[in-house]
Amino acid sequence: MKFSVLQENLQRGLATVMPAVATRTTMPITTHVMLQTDESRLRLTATNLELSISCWISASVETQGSVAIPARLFSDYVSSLQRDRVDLELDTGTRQLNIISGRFNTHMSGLDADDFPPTPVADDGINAEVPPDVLRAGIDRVIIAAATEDSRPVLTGVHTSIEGDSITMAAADGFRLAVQTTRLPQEVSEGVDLIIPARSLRELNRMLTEQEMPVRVTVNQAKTQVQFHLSNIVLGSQLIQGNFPNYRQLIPESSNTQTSVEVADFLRATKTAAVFAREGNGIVRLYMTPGENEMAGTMRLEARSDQIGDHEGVIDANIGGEEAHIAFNHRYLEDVLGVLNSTATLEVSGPSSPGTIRPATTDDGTDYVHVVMPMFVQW
Amino acid sequence: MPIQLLDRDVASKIAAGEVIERPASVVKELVENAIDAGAGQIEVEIARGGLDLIRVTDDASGIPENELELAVMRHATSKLRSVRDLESIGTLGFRGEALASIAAVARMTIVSRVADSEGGHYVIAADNEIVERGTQGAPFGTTVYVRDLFKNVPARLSFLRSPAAEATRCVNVLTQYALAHPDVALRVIVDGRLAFHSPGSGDASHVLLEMWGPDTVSGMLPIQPTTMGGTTVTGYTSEPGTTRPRRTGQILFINGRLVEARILYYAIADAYRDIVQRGRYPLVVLFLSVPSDEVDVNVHPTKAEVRLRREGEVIATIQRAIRRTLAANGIVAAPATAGQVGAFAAPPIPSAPLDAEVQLEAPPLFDERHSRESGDLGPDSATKHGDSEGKRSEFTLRPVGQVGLTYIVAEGPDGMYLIDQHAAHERVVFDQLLAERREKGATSQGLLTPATVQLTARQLDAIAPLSDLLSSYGFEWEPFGDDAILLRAMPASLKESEVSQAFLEVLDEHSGSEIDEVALKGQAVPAGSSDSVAQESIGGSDSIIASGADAVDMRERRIAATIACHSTVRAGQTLSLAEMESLLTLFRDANFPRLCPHGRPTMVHLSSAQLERQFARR
Repeated sequence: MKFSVLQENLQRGLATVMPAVATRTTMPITTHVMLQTDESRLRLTATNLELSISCWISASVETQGSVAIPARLFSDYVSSLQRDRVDLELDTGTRQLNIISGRFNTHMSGLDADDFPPTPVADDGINAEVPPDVLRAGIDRVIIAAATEDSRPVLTGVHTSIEGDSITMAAADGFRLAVQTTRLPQEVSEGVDLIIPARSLRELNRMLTEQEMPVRVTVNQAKTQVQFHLSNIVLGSQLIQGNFPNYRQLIPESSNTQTSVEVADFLRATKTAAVFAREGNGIVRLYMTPGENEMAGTMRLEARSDQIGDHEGVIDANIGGEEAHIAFNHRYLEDVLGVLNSTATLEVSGPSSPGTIRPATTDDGTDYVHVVMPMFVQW
Repeated sequence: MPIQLLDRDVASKIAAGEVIERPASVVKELVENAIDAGAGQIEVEIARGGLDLIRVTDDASGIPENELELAVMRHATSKLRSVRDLESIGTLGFRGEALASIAAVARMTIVSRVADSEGGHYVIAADNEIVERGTQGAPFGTTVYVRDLFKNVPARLSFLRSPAAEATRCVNVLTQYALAHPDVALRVIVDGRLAFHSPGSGDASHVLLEMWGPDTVSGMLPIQPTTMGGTTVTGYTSEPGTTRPRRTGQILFINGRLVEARILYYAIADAYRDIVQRGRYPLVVLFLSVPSDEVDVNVHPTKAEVRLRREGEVIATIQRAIRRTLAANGIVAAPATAGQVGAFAAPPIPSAPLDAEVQLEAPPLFDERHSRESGDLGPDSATKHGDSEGKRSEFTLRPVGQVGLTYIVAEGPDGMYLIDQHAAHERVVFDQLLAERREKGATSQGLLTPATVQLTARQLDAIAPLSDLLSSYGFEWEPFGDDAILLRAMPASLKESEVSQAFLEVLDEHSGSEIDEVALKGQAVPAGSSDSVAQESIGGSDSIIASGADAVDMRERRIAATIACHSTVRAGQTLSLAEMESLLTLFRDANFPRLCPHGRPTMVHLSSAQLERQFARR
């Protein structure tokens, strides 16, 4: 194997695949990155077995070949080189990679590329195209509700269902649920239900910022692997097997009090209250008071801590229905308000029934709902 | 065999058996006599575990020649004249049995010289008979030689342990007397070697140093003298880290007399609850001074067991004394004010203890109404999260790393600290849960989807009696079929993934545990104590033991412990430095409690001095 690449391309490629490099592992080769010539390109691949990322960069290839190189070392090394051409040549006998950049000459020991875990291919099943902004908006808004503990694996994933001309993503932990539905530009021929690990989507989300073309989503026939095909990048992920809870029934159909507030106001008020709530089990109490005589109503947020003090903040709100109070964990409020903008509506039916938060206005075909369980406190 | 009066010799041997059980009993009786006689120096020599020789020499007033023979007679004593004197015994001995009992089971020689006498006189007694008498040169004072102990009582002999073990017992007894009488210089020679000596300086800490060595004694704290009613407690108590696996380090004196009193051991254990690991016993040397008409020592011939007229008061005084001392040393947080109810709410007296002040402040604490309102949550309120403005609040630990994904390595003001991440976090959450529940009921977080929990018949039975407690901790549930429940809400601190498990564990711990419950009660409220306390309304909020509601209290604490266990980081969990830091901050805010709710230690400390020693830097 002998090829040349530009330092900045190599550095960017490595940065792209690094998140998939295993950190704590019993399989040393997964801490490596595989370099593989692919006609006139170089393919970099890393995998921790759950997530795999491949990235192609342009290269001038003299002879084809492949090798696995310690990822951290190689990445640190490459980023220290100057922006110039880098020539790489593998001694297939010793598996030493000779790297020449300007007058720098380096040898690095690699492992046999044949030992590198093969990247699963997922092109024999479903095939759908999703615009990157649709994916991003969905991931941003639902991933916050995904569980971080591994005890119920399905909840660490995002339930993604593509059906007809819409994609619905949903995530839930034990206390909240987030569901986003977006219209696709074109109908898919075959519907699919997947549970994609939130961790994988988080990495995908990072790459989507530079993506303009629609992302091709492919799933294998056995529905164990999903791949997201971006320009020059393929992110593959294992799918979580299991049944995602039927979340539709968890979304309240009606409410007694509807409060619409400016998200920025609500978020600031929540963050201020959180300073005090953090010390006292996270409780923020909300009191919704409808306005009288055409005056706007108010939402009051209270938090107190025996150690540091208490806080009360009032913001304007348009309130429909009756007066209400409810208590939430500040973190859950901050999470959902952080992914919304302009105006949001909070609907509640009582201090021990779930509250729902939605954008007050929705774009055509997009629907988002966030359900949060309250905290039961003494009133 | 016809009934007949026992022959005098047999009778005396039987009686002697009650007093003289083993060589240590002889040593005890003789040393008590010497102390009662006003000795300033006592030398004790023991050979072959005391079976060959026990010699006790004192420099006291001595026994006049004409009283020497009488001294060996049963019920002959200089310490008691009338029955009324029994009511107020100020001396250690009084029964007039000691020498006679020894003479019944050994060959005893008494040599004595009184101040104005030309020389010494001696008698030799064996089998309760004077076999020889005479004069010989002797220093002032009395020397008693006991030889051939139990030679004529083979049955007793067979119950003795090895000479070395018996010698150790003798030395233990002697060291305890040395403690009680630090003004008496005591030398103990075992098989020709000096085994122990107390300087007679009048300072009990010097004796402690001789007994336990400097390492142990550095972990002892002088108790702040505490007086309540007629009871005064002084002495030494250990830091929670200085403990023994047995009670051997707990030495109690009432009016200078070494006593054993189960109830008082419980009082000590209770004062150390949650700061000393289960199965470990702090070292405690307590000198109790109680009006002599309030103790009955005439319960048992060895006088080791005493009966206290105001047991509750004594218990409360002991616990307050220990807690105050621990608080003053920053080990437990000092209660904020005397008015703030809760256990050990003694006024904070950082340095000079003023007994008068304690007494002035004390009465409201004993108000029954007051103590009931306190909720009787015991010494925890003293270690309650965040109420310490104590000297340790500035003490921060800087995390360095993690060992075995279980222990946080941290640097502190004095060396290195290893913190068990689970145990420390668990304890912090445990304290928070108790405090929160006491104040306003624990917070509950609703579950998006109720958790279905399958229950066994036993677990189902356990729910009803616990239902109030469970909901006060934040569990909400409803029946679901015959053998399951739906959990709708859980304690806010709990990990969602462990909610069912925690709920089941709480039920399991309390299902079919009546025996357990009784055992707990039995331990906490030894027979008789609760009555006496209730009548005198002493103790009240000061003593969990005396509260009587202890079983309930234990139950609450066990539930809190279970919830805490499922709310916290686990051993084997990787923590980032930031996570370690926030855990250590919580731990500091809780004032570094020493034990987790299950009684395991939370922290191991390797001081700078220890590190330097290990690296031979000094």
